Amino acid sequence: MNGHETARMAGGGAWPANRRVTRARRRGLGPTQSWWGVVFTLPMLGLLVGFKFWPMAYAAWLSLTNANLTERTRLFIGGHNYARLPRDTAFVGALATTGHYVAETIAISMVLGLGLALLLNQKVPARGLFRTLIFLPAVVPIIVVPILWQFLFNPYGLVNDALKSVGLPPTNWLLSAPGAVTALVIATAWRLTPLCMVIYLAGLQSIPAELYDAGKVDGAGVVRRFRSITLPLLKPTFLVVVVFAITLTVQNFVLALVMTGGGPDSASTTLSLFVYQTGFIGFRMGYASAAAIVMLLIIVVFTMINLRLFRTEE
Amino acid sequence: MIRTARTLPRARSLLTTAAVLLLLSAAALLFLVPIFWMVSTSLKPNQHIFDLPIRWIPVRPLWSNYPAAYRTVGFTRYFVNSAIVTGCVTLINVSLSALAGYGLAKYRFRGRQLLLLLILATLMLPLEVIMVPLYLTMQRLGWLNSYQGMIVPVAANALGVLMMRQFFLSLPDDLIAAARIDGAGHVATFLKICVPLAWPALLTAAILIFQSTWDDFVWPFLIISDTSKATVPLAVQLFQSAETSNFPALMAVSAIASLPLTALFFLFQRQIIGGVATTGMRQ
Repeated sequence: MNGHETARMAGGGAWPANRRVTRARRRGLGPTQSWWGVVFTLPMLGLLVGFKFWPMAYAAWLSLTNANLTERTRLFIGGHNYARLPRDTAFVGALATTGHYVAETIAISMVLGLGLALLLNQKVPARGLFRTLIFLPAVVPIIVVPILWQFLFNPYGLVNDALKSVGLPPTNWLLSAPGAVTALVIATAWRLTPLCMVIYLAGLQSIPAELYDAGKVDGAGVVRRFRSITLPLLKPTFLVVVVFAITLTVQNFVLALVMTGGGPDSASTTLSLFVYQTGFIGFRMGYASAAAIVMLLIIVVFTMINLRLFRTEE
Repeated sequence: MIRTARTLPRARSLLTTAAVLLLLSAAALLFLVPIFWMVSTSLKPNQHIFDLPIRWIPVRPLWSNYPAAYRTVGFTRYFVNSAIVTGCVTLINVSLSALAGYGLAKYRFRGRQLLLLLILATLMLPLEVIMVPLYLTMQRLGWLNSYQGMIVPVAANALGVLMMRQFFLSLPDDLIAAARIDGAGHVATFLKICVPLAWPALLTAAILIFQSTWDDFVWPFLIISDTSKATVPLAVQLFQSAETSNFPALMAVSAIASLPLTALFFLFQRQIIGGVATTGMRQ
């Protein structure tokens, strides 16, 4: 901090204050220039460095070692962990499961969420009540979701009762490989759809009503107005929903852990569950970190792709 | 002539309204059936939960399932633990977020954009990616099985910074300049002028942090093995792994555990829904 700035900061006097104001005017009333901004930011920055940046760097380092929870010594083994990942059938399987799980969950949540948001955006009575009711699955604690759905997917549970009532054969959901993943998809979509819905709703409400009025005057029908006004103006919202939903489903392993335990025979083991199992049950911290870094890369890459795809014209 | 021209669109809009309401009712039913079934099952004796035809409302509701479940789990202890952890995290996070948000919104300094970008980038970093090194760090610090282990790392969350910065950006610079001209220091301007104006934003940030911390299962699950320090979600999971097939008890425990967040939602619905809608919008 130089003397000039100290003088300005200490300045209760008319002259420095005056100068600050004129300078601010010239720049269109910007904020004050001062290192005090850093001082204010420092406590939170300290926490983030200690518990976000440092663990991140630590994870990158661990992924290059053979660290094990039960052994003291850690050897630097270079890219060995990364070289092993593609040859590990458990990891490749987890990657494929994550692909299915995330793609299906997001497709369901995004389509259903948009549909519900469009309905709630109509001027109908009691729509506030409907919004509240449909949002409730997102309020249920995350740990309750797998417990509740495990019960619903019980061989004698409500889902099979529903299947039987429409003449379909009941399935042993959690004990068959495709059934377990489908069960995870449905349980996750149940909680994710309401969240997507309210994000869409916020996006829809930011579209000016005059545009629709103008569309009506020009003789555009409902479908035309949806395609030419709603969809293009909702593009930034789509981006938000996709990024939000991908991050949430890729990282989440509570559902798989409690509902299926990753089974049967690791058929529903997602990438994040693989990281947990390798690190905390198999104690292979180095190898788990390499898988975790791959997981982060996937999230970052998909976020970037979405930013590209949905980038607005301006 | 004129009359038909007017009634026709009105009739049509009535029809659309009815259709929209019908679809919304169907959707609400679909989304609420699992929750309804949880409550319904929690009031049945264990031997009647899979009875056919389905009994949506139990004939003689077994209310005693609830006190029994509460006692078996020993919920009081876990509610206290959750309250301690969540309260501390919220307090620390919101105060530091307000400071940081103010510093980033109301001052210009070299590297501010970079700093902001770094802080917001942490929002893209899920706990699941860093849980292994974070666990090892806790082990090194001796924070496994401790309250500070559940509090401090969780308080390091940039979400509040984002929200508080957004609020302080909307605060006119003239206000701060005026306070400074009146001789107030940097800290006094922040505490006496800006914080009192910021309470709606502070409340929203506090509610969202409170909700996500109370709901957090993974982190306590990883570092807490001493059940006397367990939080509510952890206690629910412990009960579940011990009583896998006692469904009425499981559903009663789930319902009890859902109560605090449900109450919070009905009290602060506007903030919670608005928070989801805007914090999704990180860019």
